[in-house]
Amino acid sequence: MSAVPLLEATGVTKHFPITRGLMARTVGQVRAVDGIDLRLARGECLGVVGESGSGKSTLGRVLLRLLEPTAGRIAFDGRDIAAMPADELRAFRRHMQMIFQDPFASLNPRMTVGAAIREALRLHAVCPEAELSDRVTAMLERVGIGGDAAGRYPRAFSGGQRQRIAIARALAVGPRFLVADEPVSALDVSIQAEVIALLQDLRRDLDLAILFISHDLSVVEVVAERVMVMYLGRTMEAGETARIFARPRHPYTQALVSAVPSRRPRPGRIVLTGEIPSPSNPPSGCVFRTRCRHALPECAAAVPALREVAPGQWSACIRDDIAEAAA
Amino acid sequence: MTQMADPRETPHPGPAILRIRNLCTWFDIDEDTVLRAVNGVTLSLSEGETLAVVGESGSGKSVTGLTVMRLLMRSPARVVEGEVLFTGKDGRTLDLLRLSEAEMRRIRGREIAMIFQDPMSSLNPVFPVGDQIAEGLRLHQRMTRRAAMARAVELLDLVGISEPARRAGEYPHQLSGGMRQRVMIAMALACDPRLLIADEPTTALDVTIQAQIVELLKALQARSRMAMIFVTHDLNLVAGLADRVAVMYCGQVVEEGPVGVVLDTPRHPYTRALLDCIPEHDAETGRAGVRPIPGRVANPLAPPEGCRFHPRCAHAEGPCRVTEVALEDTGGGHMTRCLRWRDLA
Repeated sequence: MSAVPLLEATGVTKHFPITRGLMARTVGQVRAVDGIDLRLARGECLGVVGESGSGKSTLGRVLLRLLEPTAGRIAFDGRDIAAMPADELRAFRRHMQMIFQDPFASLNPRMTVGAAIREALRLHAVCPEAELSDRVTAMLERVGIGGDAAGRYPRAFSGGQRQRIAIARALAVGPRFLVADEPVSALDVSIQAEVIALLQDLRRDLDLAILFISHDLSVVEVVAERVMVMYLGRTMEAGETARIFARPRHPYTQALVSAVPSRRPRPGRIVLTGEIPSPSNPPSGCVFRTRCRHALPECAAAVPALREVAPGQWSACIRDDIAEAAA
Repeated sequence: MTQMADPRETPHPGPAILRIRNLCTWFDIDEDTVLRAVNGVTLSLSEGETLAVVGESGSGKSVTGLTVMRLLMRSPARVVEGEVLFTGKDGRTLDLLRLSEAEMRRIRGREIAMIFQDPMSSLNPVFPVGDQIAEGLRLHQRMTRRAAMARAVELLDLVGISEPARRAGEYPHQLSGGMRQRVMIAMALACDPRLLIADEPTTALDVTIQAQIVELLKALQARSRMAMIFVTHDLNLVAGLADRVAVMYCGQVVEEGPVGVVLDTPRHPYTRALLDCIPEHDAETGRAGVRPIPGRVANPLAPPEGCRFHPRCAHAEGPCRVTEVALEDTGGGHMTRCLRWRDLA
């Protein structure tokens, strides 16, 4: 990792108020993201994994300030975007783009593919009006769709092609940071492999940093150098992907890795009981303790800090004995 | 939290209860266009056995399941050819495709049940889930309202829903995705069917919940000797779940056999390509990349001549482009629809 990270987030928190009654009285908080720290270098890919409700998508949106953070600092290239005024932020968005799981929902069905990309280019005044068409064609060719797609509507394309179009639109404005929220989860495996390969190429060619959000650990293992495991808005474990998947130290990561279906089923598979608790009423201390088979009474007492348990691997668990057994 | 035994240990299959022979289900798109979604599928299934049907979108895997359930008999769908021979609880063997709708209604639910990917679209949002389970029991087993409700609560308990009596009074929107799928399973199992058709039942769920549902289905199956057809696009999921696997491409079965054999020594280039493009998480082999399959999925409106996969196959030769390829036994019931399997083995 380079000395000055492209993106550095400290204590990022997002709570949604739960309101009730005519006066919209606040009766509680959904603690979607609760004090996340992360760093992302130029050209680096960080995977964010966790079950539904872990807060990973909310985190992605807060980092781009598509949602206002409740607390925390988000420094992009040394500038705090959490405190940036709205008009400045709008211009700044050129550097930070996002793609989503369902590209059909993010492409306007009444706008041709070319018009959608031109709109993004005009908004950010990326190039002179005369060069717009060439730029659109070049971008569509770059993502493997072909320039003649510009005159057609999203409905003429398959799911995989639409995702390529969404990628073309996001990258047309030349961002340095991309949040990819489950970009291949809705695609067939063969199409998924194509889109992953495309994202890998683009990332290398454009020196693009990617926050890759996915519930699919196998995909994250292939695309991300580093990974962060989230549960109920907090980081359970983080570090180098290869290391974490080979030797997960946190009981939650161990269960997640074990639940991934494999061609060579492992004996002694861990099947977690129960489901993720409600983020409006998270357990005290370690949020995972209610589903953890190693939980002790002490786990309820305090929120465990992320500690470096091996070079390049951090875990938020007080049970050093199980961490060592895994190593 | 429980430790699981090696899922590859397979039970001994009993007599065949379902034999699908040369099934062709087509869709009339317009006057001169026919989509041959399922085109000559032959499969069989024994008591207590799980057959995984694997393929990408448009391969015909779901249409096969829906045809067995006789849910695709009306325009634009038509079953052009084939038989679906099913042996019921009374030991009689019937061709489901030739039953009247009234006769088929007695089979559905009682003999064959089906669960889908999205439980929300199969559950009625305005009735409590307990009532919805009880409805099937009253209809098929003529239970009283009170007895059916008591049985519904038992079933919710059986599928691992805690506080089943309270949950029975809740509406679908009050339950999580995993719990809704458990309710669907409870409903499917209410009449103790001989065959369960599960169409991507875990695709929308988190891996942790997916593992729970798979373990639940296996445990329930072991109790009742129910046979299961598990339709999925996930070849990795199949390994821990099924006894046999059939891989479909463009309306045909291209490879079929015991699950361990097919995954370890695939004999069709499409199966190999499909395995290659799964990003595999494996500590032993180290980090793996993904290898996309070249070309595009065959257009089912205009399928290629000869082997349907030949335009994307690195090993295709002259005959592959013109000869209609038959399924061939490579030994031990491992079938492949490839002319060149001997050269490529």
